[in-house]
Amino acid sequence: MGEIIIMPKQGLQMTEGMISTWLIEEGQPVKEGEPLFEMETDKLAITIDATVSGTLLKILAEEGDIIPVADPIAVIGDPGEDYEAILAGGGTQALPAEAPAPVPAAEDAPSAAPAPSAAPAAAPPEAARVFASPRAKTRAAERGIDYRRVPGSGPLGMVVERDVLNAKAAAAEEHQIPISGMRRIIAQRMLESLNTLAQANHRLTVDMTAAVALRKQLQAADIKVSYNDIVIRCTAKALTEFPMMNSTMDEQFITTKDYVNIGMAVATDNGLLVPVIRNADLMTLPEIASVSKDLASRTKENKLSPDELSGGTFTISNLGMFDIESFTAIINKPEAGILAVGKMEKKPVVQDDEIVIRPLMQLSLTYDHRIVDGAPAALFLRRIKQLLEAPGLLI
Amino acid sequence: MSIKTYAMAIHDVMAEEMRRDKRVFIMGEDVETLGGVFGCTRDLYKEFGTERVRNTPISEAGFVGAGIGAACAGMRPIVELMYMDFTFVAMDQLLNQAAKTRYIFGGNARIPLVIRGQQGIGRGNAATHSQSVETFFMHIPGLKVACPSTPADAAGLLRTAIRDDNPVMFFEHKALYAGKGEVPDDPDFTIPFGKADVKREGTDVTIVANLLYVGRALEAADELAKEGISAEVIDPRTLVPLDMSTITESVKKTGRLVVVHEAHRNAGWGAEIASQVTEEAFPYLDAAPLRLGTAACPLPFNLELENAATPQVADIIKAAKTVLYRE
Repeated sequence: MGEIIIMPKQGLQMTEGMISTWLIEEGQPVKEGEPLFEMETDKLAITIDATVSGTLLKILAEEGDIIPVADPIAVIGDPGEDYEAILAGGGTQALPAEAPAPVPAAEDAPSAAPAPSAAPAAAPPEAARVFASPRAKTRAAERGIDYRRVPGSGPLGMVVERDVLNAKAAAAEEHQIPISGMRRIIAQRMLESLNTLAQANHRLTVDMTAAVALRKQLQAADIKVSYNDIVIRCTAKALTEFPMMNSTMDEQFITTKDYVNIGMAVATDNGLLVPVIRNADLMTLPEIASVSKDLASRTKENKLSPDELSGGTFTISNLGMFDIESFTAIINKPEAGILAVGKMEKKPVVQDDEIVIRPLMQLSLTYDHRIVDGAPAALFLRRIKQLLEAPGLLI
Repeated sequence: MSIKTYAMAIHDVMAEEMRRDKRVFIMGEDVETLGGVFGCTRDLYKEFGTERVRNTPISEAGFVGAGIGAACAGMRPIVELMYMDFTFVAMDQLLNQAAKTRYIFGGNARIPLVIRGQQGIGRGNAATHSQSVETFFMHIPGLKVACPSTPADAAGLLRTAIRDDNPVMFFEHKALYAGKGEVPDDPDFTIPFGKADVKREGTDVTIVANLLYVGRALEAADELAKEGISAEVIDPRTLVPLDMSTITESVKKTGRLVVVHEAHRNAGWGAEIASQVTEEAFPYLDAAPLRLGTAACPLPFNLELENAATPQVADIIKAAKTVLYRE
């Protein structure tokens, strides 16, 4: 029998769709009406049912692939049948049941060429087809432009070279970037965090004079620590004193933790990752320095194990290296708070009615007001400030 | 350099080659005292005698065959046909004998023969005396085909033809004979076969033309330039061997191709070039290649109708704009 499954058109404006999940494995039987795959367009996510019964002989489009409407994505046939022969023979090109009937080209895209009058009724919808000269396609590929989105000025609305060159010159250029798995996860988590937690924010300024001195003392002893390491160490200590800041909340319980695992936000080319320093409250400053350095470098090389990316109880994010003075971070669920660290900078400060120069740094605490009220959150933040301004208290 | 007419350039090369090589001789109708209908052999009999500038009866099949025999026997004949339309009288000699003898005899026989003469429109010579027939000789392997469009090309290509050990079909154009141009004085000036000449460089559209239509293509290019369209004009000069790489590279640059010739458009040599370019440079094409040629009708006697049947400069301009999607 042999049937070629094509990317179904889900709405008038759809030109392509992304396969998100295949629900049947290659080689497995499938029944007509049974869910076959999940797909997404720029507008919707939908589950598509099989239109015939048989064996899913071949999956042509992998998960994550973006496929133009009406292009083949899979072949269903009898067990053991040669899918290539079905493809070569054209098979039956089937529109899944949910797909609306192909609309006339004139309605969908006035500039597109009308379908040839001799086209058989079963042909894929011509509306999806955009005519372009070979040179226009070549030029578009060179420039990373999708020629199908370029208005055509040639005969029958064909996209010709000048259209592509003009499209390049246009200021209002847009590019569609497929959403990677990592981007998708970050997007989901950030949105979920903002939608489900009662996030509030406190800020204060820390005088880092003592921290600078501490770092110099360690340097003199050949021990290298960063200011961020000092912040991690002080925060870890403060968390042991404020267990509600080191907790999670579900519908029934607030769960406090006797261990402190500090997540440190690390920017990578693909997006944000948060490796975890376990038992940071039990570590010495040099130990934290060593672990954080190792984690940061392996994060950028994409060499972390999944374990190292989970289990955090509190997160610290530092954008000081980008000259950011202060910012509001979004809580990394299911934690109760996140500390945003700004740039350390020498500034004039009034001390004993004198103007003196001090290295100052801003801390910004975002906390979940469902768990912690404003006053205890303020005390927690002030405690971190105290520790940073008097690091001797760490001992 | 000397300024010569196209006819003089041909005349002088034949004279120089006859001086250089005693095996070179001319035969044809009225080539002796009349000097050929278009004067290409004028007075040559005075220097070389009627043994080497021989009149023939009106018998193309016979004297073309005689030329092949003479070439086979070691001579280097130049056979003049009064009109290249008359090649049809001698088709078996040309396509079965001249083209194939070397192959059939395993390379033991050579045919260093030049068949030359004029063809084409311009004088209202009507259906059997105005044709452009070069395409016929591209189809059967074994013949080389040269089509000069300028006095210098005529001189350089004819010398190469005479010195070639294979049969060469040498197509001159009756409307080009009086045209003048610079011709190198070097008695060894040759133009290699299979080397197209870019007559004008351009970036927007490639126009391929031969013989009379090189000039018309250049005129069209001048007009197009006034409208900001930069046309590249290429004369392949020899159709066998054919320099496709120059043409293909040009089309890769410009993205558009117009082929214009006086030969009939249907199954003319322009179709061969358009097809090869499509095969070799498809991703570079912004429009389907266009062919211009004489309409599929016998050439009319009436000059106005002759014009109507053949591509004019305005037609070339229109074709160039068509492939550029400009109107």
